[in-house]
Formats: sequence, structure tokens, C-alpha cells
Amino acid sequence: MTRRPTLGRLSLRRPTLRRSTAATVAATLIISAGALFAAAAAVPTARISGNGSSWAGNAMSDWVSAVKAQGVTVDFTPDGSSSGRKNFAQGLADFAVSEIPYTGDTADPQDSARPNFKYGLVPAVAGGTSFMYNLPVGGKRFTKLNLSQAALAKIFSGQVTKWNDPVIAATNPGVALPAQRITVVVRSDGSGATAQFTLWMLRQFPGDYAKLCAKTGCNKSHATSYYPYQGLSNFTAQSGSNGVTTYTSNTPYTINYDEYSYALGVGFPVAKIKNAAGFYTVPTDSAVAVALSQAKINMDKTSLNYLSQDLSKVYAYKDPRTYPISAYSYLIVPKQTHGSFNTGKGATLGYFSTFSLCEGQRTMGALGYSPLPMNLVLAAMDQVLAIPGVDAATKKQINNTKAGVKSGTSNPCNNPTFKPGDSPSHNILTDTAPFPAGCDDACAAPWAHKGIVVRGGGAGGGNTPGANPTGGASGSDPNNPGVPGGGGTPGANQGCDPNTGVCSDPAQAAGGPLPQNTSAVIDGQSTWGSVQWALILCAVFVFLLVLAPPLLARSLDSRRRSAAPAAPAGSIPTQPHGPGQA
Amino acid sequence: MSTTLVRIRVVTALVGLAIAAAGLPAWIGTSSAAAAGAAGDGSDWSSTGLSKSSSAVTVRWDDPDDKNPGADRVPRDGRQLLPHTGGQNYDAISGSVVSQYFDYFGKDNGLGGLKMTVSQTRDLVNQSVNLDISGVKGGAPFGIPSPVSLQVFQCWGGLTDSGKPDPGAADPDPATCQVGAGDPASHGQAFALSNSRYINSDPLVPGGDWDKYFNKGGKNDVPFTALTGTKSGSTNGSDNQFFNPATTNEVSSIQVSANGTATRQFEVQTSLESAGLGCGLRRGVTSTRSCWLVVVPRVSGVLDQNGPIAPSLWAQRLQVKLGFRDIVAGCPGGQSRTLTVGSELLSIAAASWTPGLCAAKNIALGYTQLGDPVARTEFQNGAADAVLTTQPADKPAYYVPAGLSAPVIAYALSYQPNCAAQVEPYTEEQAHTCGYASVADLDADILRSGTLVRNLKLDARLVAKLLTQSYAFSIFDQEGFRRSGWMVHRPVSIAKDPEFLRLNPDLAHISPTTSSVNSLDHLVLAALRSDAASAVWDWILKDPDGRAFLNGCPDPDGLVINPFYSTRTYQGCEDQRAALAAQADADRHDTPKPASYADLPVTYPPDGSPFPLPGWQEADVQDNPPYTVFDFLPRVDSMPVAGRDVAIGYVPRSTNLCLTVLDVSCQPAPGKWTDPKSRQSGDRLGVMAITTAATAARFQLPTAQLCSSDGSHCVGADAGSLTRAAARFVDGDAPGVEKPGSTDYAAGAYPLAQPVYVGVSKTLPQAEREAYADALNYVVTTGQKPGFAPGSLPPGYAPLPKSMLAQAKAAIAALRAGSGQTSTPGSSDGPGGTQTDAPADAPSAPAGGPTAAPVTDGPQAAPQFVTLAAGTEHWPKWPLPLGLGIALIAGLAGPLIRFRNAFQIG
Repeated sequence: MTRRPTLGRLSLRRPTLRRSTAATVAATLIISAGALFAAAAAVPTARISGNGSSWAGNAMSDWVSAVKAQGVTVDFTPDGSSSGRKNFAQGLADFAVSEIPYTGDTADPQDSARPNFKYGLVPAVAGGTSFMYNLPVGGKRFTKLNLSQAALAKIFSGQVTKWNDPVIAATNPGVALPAQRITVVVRSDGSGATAQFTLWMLRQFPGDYAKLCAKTGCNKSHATSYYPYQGLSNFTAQSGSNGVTTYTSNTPYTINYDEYSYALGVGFPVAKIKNAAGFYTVPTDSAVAVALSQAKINMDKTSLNYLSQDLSKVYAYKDPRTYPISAYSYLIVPKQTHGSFNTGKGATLGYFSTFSLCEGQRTMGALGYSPLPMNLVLAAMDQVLAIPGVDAATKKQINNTKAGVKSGTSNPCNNPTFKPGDSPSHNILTDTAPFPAGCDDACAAPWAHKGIVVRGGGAGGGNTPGANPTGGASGSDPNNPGVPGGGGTPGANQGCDPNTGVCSDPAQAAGGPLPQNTSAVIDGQSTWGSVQWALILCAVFVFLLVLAPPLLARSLDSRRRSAAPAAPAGSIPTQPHGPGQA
Repeated sequence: MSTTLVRIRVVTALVGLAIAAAGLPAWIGTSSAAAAGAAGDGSDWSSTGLSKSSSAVTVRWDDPDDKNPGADRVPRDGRQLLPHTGGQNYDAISGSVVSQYFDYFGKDNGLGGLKMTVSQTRDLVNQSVNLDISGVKGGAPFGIPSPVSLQVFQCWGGLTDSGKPDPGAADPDPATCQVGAGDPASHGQAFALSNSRYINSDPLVPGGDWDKYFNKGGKNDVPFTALTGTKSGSTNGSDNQFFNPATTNEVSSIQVSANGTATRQFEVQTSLESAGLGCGLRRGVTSTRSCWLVVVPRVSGVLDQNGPIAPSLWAQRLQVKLGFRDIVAGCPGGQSRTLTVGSELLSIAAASWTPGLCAAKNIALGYTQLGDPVARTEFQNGAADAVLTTQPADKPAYYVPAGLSAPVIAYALSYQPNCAAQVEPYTEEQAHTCGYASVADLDADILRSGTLVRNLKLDARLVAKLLTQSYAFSIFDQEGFRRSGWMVHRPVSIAKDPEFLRLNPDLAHISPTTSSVNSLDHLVLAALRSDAASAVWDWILKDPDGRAFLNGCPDPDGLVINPFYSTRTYQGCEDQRAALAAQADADRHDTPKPASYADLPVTYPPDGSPFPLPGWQEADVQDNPPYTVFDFLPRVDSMPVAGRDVAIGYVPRSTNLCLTVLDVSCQPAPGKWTDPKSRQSGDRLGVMAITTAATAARFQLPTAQLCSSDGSHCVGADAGSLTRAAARFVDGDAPGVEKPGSTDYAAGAYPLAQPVYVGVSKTLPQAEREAYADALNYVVTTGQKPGFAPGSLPPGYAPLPKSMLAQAKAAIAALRAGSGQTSTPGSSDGPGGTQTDAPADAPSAPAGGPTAAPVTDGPQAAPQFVTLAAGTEHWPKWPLPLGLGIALIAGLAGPLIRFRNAFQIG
């Protein structure tokens, strides 16, 4: 109490008394006075960490580095979905990433821990499980492998073990397939990729799955996150997506399964898979988008698995462009505070989820994923709102998105699957998805939206037609580059930012930190600028600081004398106040 | 009521003056700082891993004459009040504790007393600072337990008596320190009470406000008080919402070497990495400009059951005040981004440019890290509009040079002599056996034990050996790989390779196993394909010795490549072909191989993963899953991750068999191989990786100098050597794109230097091209100015030399104008003739070794530079008037308050 006014007086005096040694004073002050700023948070500050799916790992690491540049720190370890669900349930992680929920018929019975707090699923990204292979044919790496789904099931259940098996030869006529053993590379860690793939086999080829289980001892009526390979001599299990990818790229005569992103990362070919319409496709963003238009989403808001996916109809979809083994990946988020998860962390998680649902979706195609359609984004946003502590800015963005979609005037979320005015359930990637080679107009007609037919290999397309990483066997017929509707990158063409309504005039800084009115900068070269104004201002302030307080004091004193002539004894006025007294 | 007013006024005055003071140096310092030049802007990054700064601070533990900088003084006498002890001071500490501390750390300890230099204390961002420690008694060489160690952590400041944050506090309070989670190094190792926040036996605690935590277990450790005033949950378990073992930057134990020294990098965290500490002023967030680095020396046997925040231990601390740069975050998430995808080499620069661009131009730059080949594919097929790449894409594009950097071989290596210290003195005979001329030489070498090596040299053939499992310890370990004759007769690691020892004579006696995790036998490598990885192979293949080694030819000492990695062409040693081929065939034949292995020669550069890993090795461990080379030498995600692994002494390796019966998550039965994630301890580091120069610089990691095959010239990566290499770039495979030219070690050109271009699609609409042009204009102006501030060029890059800048300007102009061909006349061909205008780029040129680094080419780029410089100077000039204004208000309030007081009383 007594110490503080003294300090205050000292500091008040400094600028006037020591103008000449201002530098030294400043130096000491800057060391001694740690300025403290406190205000309502602009971006969330709490650091959060999660772990889980390596299937979605490349997408996550893209978002993590993007929000870091915005000042938000999120840690993510792609150590497999099973590990993610386990750590989340035990409170060791703030969120998890997983392709399957804790409960229901797609859940993994080997999950030993369940959260004892409320949680929800937030769809994060879509993608296709691809089958990367390393197959030398005639001394060169073969890049045009076509496989039927039946052949896949036979290979991955250990029934087809040679590359020249008739089942494979049937879909690769004229290719001198080697009489080599197939080495099947599976994930050794508990993974959503495995869960989705075994679920596909269970649903589509239950007989083959039963045979696999008979050999390896798995439960033939349930999919699993841990690939059953024990006792299969031509199988090898490797750890994580990097493990299976590195193994396959370095070992001839191998085939694996994982998210398309990983095959792209090492530039290896993936098998073209025959879909129900009889065409061979790879999991490009548009092929996955077409497939997932058939995903049945759990819309029961009271369910623990609200928004979880049922892919039964995806597998057998008859659109010629579809990639049959496509799926969504989910963030699993808390809906209440618990343990160390407080509202501060909730704000960060809300911010991160909203970023990844919106702007974050734009990079997904380039990474080997497929962006989420708008209807799922909207539903996911409601889930985000249920995270405790979501801040006002995030809520505002979510509400703007909903309003923009509803009114049909804008695409505030910048989602690349959506065009203002469209129905949110309409994914424009399904319009622009190219039809595979060999699908003529008659074949395409029933599936083409709005009469647009985009051919495989269209060069001007805004998405990735036939993006076979090896340069595309089918993509080699370069027809109609300037397809209407196929040109340009969706969502990126607006001259004006649909979010803020600000048209892109880069010199215009909107609401930057304190003194960043950039309009002044442009005049920076003139001789009289803001620096000079600031100097003048300083001089005026210093002058006032010297003179004003004593003058004010004097004038007040005179008024007080007239108001209360009897000065109180022993009070502050005994101190001569300020240098002006001299 | 009136006191509240007085207090408000005082606080206002203080805040005002603080702001003014903060602004003042920016004014008066502008010209002098510019004159002083590069000091402290990080542009002196080099292969030693050290970087000078003008704000280095040295403090002494025993400081009787108060010579430490004012804020950093910790008196070891009754003047030091001990928080949380009910008002006791240093004199209350047990005499035996004090005497032991003076004995080990006092100025009369025979070594001058504990002294520590912190390499940088101002303008900090999230970075590493180097701690140089000396004068400690009781240090011991490898192999002998030492009674002393040091704990390092970061604190935000002081508390008032009522436990509220006190910005004016002269000293930090132990409750505000981010310590007790156990640092990442303790992952997988036993948690020690001395690393905790428990107070079990400090006699000063009972009676103070921490009494309730005294000698309690479970969740009753002392909570951390965040800058907001919020208290964390227990650090034991997962209740602490502010930090945990994965996020904390604390260092639990620094070991001291026999000569009483230790060096160690310490990661300083800002409010972005640790909201609880809140260091670095950030708009809208509770945060502070200054924080503290605290080092608590520990003596084994003294209060072992207590964490370093226990008052008697806390009283023995060194403290150094840290000043943080204000934090400029990027554009918030709702904004549409200008997207780029590609090269890892630019990831750290992009992280700086993104917030800088947002603040200066309100452009939200988006950067997605992809391997360059993938990025080009995505660019070619239209999934990306702009690509960051070294090699050109197969599509018409405007190529703007944006960065000059390089892949490097970063290492963390603490020197350990082959003959470790022993309790019994060595005899002359033993010294001879160990390879020394005398016992004195041996003893002198042992004194170096634990010091960090900073001058490692490698040549192309040595790197080839490290990349091809050619040292014994990278072929087998204890996990049961079967050994064949050809494996065991090769050097166990690089430390036993005569070629390496010829190149590094001062490491003649280095132990081949500096660490319990053997790791001087291979490099930690990324799984992502990149142009940088290709550059490493190009360099090796350009070197006749390196190329011959890959082809199966022996080195001068008779060492041949691991036969499973050979190209089997024997080019370079054709005369020995028959014998070498026969031997290699026999060796492969004699080696047990998994069924999946296909016996094919390897090609270079590899066409699959960036670095080959043929699956030739598999060990059956009884009924367990087989152990393979992929478990033994797993790849990491990317080069930045590889660099971070070196920084924390972590060698990825799945050596732990996790059995399903013990852990149900280790499915399927019987179990799987997992990574125990153990880290090397600070005095036993030995790990090397291929990473980016910027990653190495960020973590202050030394990087290997690369040498010509005759060993006559070696070049480390630094701004100067990159610039000299850039002067030798030649026209690449597309107009406006250059590629590395001939290697020139004698001229001091770093052989792995790489240009990185931003390729922008020519088919973009005008508005988007403008956005890219604006962003790129910033990148090639402000973004090339070295420094730590957001927007500037971080350490690990060289500013673009004149010719590349000219090229950049022309390309940006073409991009903005949408002119059809950047390629044609002016832009690329003019400056593209780099070989001729090379000397102009590097005026100090060839003569100087890697030390001559004053390369920043200032003068060019004049017009735009001035404009932007005015913009960046913008921020610091306002705090002074603002602060004075606030102080003025406070000043005026004085008389008013007085007036009011009198009124009320009257």
C-alpha cells in the first residue's frame, strides 16, 4: 500500500527529470516492467493434443501447420485409430481421429476403453483406401494393374498368392505377369484403414472373410482394426502408414492397403479397382466424392454414433466414376469438460475443427483425400457447437456458414464442394468428376448432372481427372480441355472474399493489430510521415506532462480552498507533489 | 475508494511508461541497430549450430559483488527472501545444504564457480537458445556417476502475496514455472521425484502457504499458476491442463562433464506453445513481454525427494530474464487462403512469411507440405494452383525464386573417448593400448568427455555408407538378426571407419557407441520423396568415390557396400569385377532372407522411396512376429521431423516387443514391435539425420561439413556457402528455372544448395494472379531480410542473391501482367547466365572459408524494399507517444484524486 504510490510518483517523474538519459531509463524500464495485457481472447490460446488415425494423418498434419500459422497450437500423433480411441477414452488425449466409432456394428470389439464422458463424432475428411503395389514386369515397374474386387478379396484373404494367378490375369490381358509370390503388406497397429477394409470384405465377400478368419482365428462376423494375418506365410505386417508404404516401395512383388495420400507421397502406382459398373477407377477426390454420395449417415441426434457412416451402398454403387472403397474419417470430440479438458481447450478444439471443416477442405484434393460435402459440414458444425467453450468468433463463423448456405448467397465456408445457391447435399465434385475411358455418352448419361459430361483426362479440369500417379494409363486421351464447368478450381475464383465481403484489395488491411493502418504505409517515402507526427505528439505529451499536472493541481487547489478551506491534517498534501511545485 | 483510484492511476502510469519505454529503443535504436548490422538477426547461422547475438547474458551462481545483471541477481545470503516459506530467507536454509552448494558451485570451488552464458535473451521467438555452463565441481566423465546435475525450465514471473500475477515483481515465483511433467527425455524411463512438483522433505515449507502440499502424495503436488492466475490440476497424471510431458520444454537433468562444463540447447516457448506461460505479447491474450529462464543445480543426496521448486532448492537457482518479441499471428481461420503446396525446404520460411504477410498485406498464405514430386503432379493436374519446387513441373508456369536453402546432415554428438574414465588411474601401458602416447594425453581426452562435437566432416562416400547399411551396427543388433560372416568384419559404426578418422583427426579416439542406442551407423531419414533427397543422391553420384562405392567398389581400406544395396555394376573398379561380384553373390547367398525378398540390384537415385531400404533382413524371434529391417530402421514423416528427432536425441527404432498378453492393444496375438520412444541423455548424444538447413538452425544443431573426396576442402552450410553455390547454378530444365551446377569445394560453395521456386499456373484468372504476385512480392523483399520477426527470413536460408532477385522481379511482373511467356527475353535468359555474373554475387568470394558470411546483398531491390521497410518500421514508433499519453492521463489524475480525497474527507 505505502510502497505503490511511491513507485507511481517515481515513474511519473522520470520522463521529465531524465530526458537526457532517456535511453538508459528506457533500458532499465523495459527490463523491469513486464507489460501485461489481458483482454477477451481473439484466437484460442490453449494447446491441445490428440492422436489416432494415420489414414487421415496427412490431412491432419496439413491442418495442424495451417492453424499454427494462425497462432493456434494443436499436436497430433498419427499412431493409429485404436490408439487414438484408447487415449481419448482414458483422458490422455483431448481428441481422437478414427474411422469407426466406439459402439455399434462397425465398432471394434477389441476396444478395451470407452469414454466415461459425453462425446461426439465430427466428420473430418473423406478418402479412398488404395492398393499400392510394387510389381516389376519385364524389368520395369508395372503401373497399369487392374483388379476386380473379387480378386482383392482373394489376395487379401490369402487365397491368391501368385501374381500370375488367373484371377489377376483376367483383368490384365496381354500383361506378362510374373510367376512370383505376392507379398501382402498389412498394418500391424490397430488402424481405421484396416477396420474399413475388413468391413468391406465382410460385407461384400463374407465367404472370403470367413476363410481368412478360419485360417487366422478372427471372428468371421465382425470386422477388426487389427489385420488377421497370423499363419499366412505370404503376409507381412508393418507398423503405421509410413511402415507399410516404405516396405512396399522397397520390396518388389508387394501390395498393401492404405489411404491414397501415402502412395502419392512416394509416387507409387495404386491398383485400379473395378467398380460395380465395370469400370476401373482410382481414389481421386472426385471418384471418392461420387462414391460417398451413397454413404448412409446416421442422422439420429440422440445416438452416440450420430453422423457415423454406413458404407453398404457405397460398395455396390453403379455410377461408372465411383471408387468403391471410400470412407469418411472422424474427429472424436468431448461434449463436456472432464479431467484436463476445460473450456479453454474446447475453444481451441472448436476453432481447429471449424478450420478443418471449412478452409481446410480446400487442400484435401491435392493431398490425396476428398473434401467433405456441405451437408456433412453443416451437420458437423452442430457437433462442434456442442464442444464446451467454443468461442464467439467460431460460433459466428458457423452461423455465417449456415446462413450463407440457407440464403444461397454465399459460400462462407469456402468449401470446394459447394456452389452458392445449390443444395448443400449436392457435391459439385460429382458434377465435374470425369467419366472413365470407355464410358460413352450413353453410359454416362444417367449419371451426369446437369448434362455435363467430363471426359477422363480433361486437362483443364479443376480437379484431378484420372490422377493416376504414374501419369495415367487411361488419362492419355487429351480431349476437350476447356470443358464448361470443369475449368477453374472450385471455390477459389471469387474476386471478393465471400466470408468478409471484402473484395480482394490486398493493400486493405482489415482490423489489424493496434497501429496497422496500412494506408499510411503507402506514403512511407514522403518526407513528412507518421513518424514525424508521432514525434510531434511525443513532444506535446512531454510538454504537457511537465506542465499540466501542476497547473491542474494549482487550479484545483484554488477551487478547493474556496470549497473547503480547512485542509485536513496528515493527509497527502504534505508531500510536495510533482516537479511543478518548484 | 480513494486508494483504489490511486492504485488505478499508478498502474496506468506504469503501463503507459512501460509502453513508452518499450517503444523508445525502437526509435533511438533504429539507426544504430541498422549500423550494427547482422548481430542477432540469425543470419550468422552455420555448421557449428551456434549463432551469436547481441543479447547474450552471463550469470554467476556465486555473485558476492552483485555483478550479475540486475534482474538476474540471486543473492546467496539473507537478502534473498524465499517465497512460500512464511517469510524466511536464505539464511534459514540448512547449513549442510548451503555448504554443499557452495562447495560444488561457489567461486572457491577450484574451477571459478558455476557460470552460465545464455546465447540470446531478447527478441525471442519460439526457438532454441544455447546454454554454456562451466565452473562446476563434481562433473564426471562418461562411465562415472556424477553428484551434480542441472535442471532447466521456464517461468513467467512473480506473484503478489495474495497469489495474483504481479507484473512488477523483481523475481520469478516457483509456482509460475513450467516444470514437473518430466521432460520428453524421460519418456519410457522412470519418473524421478527430483523432477516433480512434490515437496516431501524441505523443512522450510511447514508454516508457509505451501504447507498443505508438504509430504503428500497422489495429486497433491504443487499446482502450476498460469499467467491468467488459473491454477493447474496435478501434474501427476493427466490433470494439468497447461503442460504435459509431450509439450513441456523443461530439461530434467543436464550432466556436467569432467572439466566442469556442459552445453545444451533449450527451447524457449512463447504463448503459442505454452498459453500457461504466456511469454511474448499477443493481442487479445493474457501475455507478457518478459519471462525467466531458471536453472536449479542439484546435488545428489540433497533433498532428492523434492522437485526444484522446493524453497531450499529454488534458493540455489540461476535466473535470467528473457525478453520476447511481440507475437504476430497469421490471418484468422475464416479467411480464404492463397494456397501453395510443396517443398519441405521452405516449411520454416513459410511459417514466418504467413503471419508477416497477413499483418502487412492481409493476405492469408496457405502452405501445405508435400514432397516436391507429388506437389508437381498435383500442380500439373490442376489440383494445386501454385507449387513450391526445385525442379520445374511439366506445365506452363511463372517461376518465381523464393528461397535458397539446402538439405543438411544434422547431428547431435557428445564426445566420448573409446577408453572411458575409470576409477583406477590408467597405466602408461593401458594408455598405449587405447591409442594414446601417454597417460597425460588420455586424461586430457577424457576431460573432453561429454562435450558436444561441432566440426564433424563427411564426404560423399561416408554418406553413401551411412545410407546403405554398410556399418555393422546398422545391420544387426541384439534383437536377433542372424549374423553372417560379411557383416561382422566391417566397422561397427562410422567412428571405427578409417576414412572417417582421417577426415576427423580430433575424433581419433571417439567411442563407436557413445550412446546406449547405437546410432552413428545410419542416418534418420524421411519417408517423403523430395527434390532435396534427390540432391543428396546427385551429390554422391557426382563424386567418383561415392559413385564407385555404390557400384560395389571397395574404399581404400577394403570396405565394400552392404551387398544388398549394390548396383552390382562395378563401374570404377572394373578390373576387380569378377572377384567382387563373386564375393557379393556369395555374401547375399549366405544371408538368411525373408521369403518376400527379391534379389535385384538397387538403382540410384532410387525410384521408390527417397532412400532405399531393401527388405532383405528378417529375424524370427521364436513364436513372436518377425523382426524386420523396417522395424529396425523406420522412416520418419518428413525432414523437419528428422531434425527434431536429432534435437531431442531420439532414434526411431521399434525394438520393443509388446505382447498381447501384457497389453491388449498390441494386437493381433502374440504381439507386435513397438518403439519404446526412449531418448538419449544429454551427455550421451549420438544421432544424425538428413534434414533441412532451417530445421537444423531452428534447433541450433551442428551440421556436417561436406568434403571433397581427397579431403582437402570442406564446406559447411551457411548463408555464405549457399550464396556461393547459387553463383554456380546453371540453367535448368525449364525457362527461368536454375539447378545446381558443378561442385566447387575450394570456392566454399555448399554442394547441396538448392533453389526453391514458386511455380504459379499460367491459366489462373487475373484476380488470383494478382494475389500470388502480391504475396510473392513480399516474399522476395521483406521475406528475404534475415531476422526472427514474422515475415523475415529465418536462419537456415540465404537471402536470394542479386541475379535470382532480378529473375524474381521479372517473373512477378509477368505473373501480374499475365504475359504469355516469362521465359522469353528479359527475365530468365538475362540473369539466367549465372555462371558469368557469378562473381558479382559473392564479392567477398572464393577465398574465405565458410566463415566469410557477410553476404546479405543490401542495395538491390531498392524501391519496393523502401516501401515495405517503412511499413515494418511502423509498429515501434507508436508506443512512445501512446505511453506518454497514458502517463499524461495518469499525471493529470494525480491532482484530481488529491482534490477528490480532500473533498471527501472535508
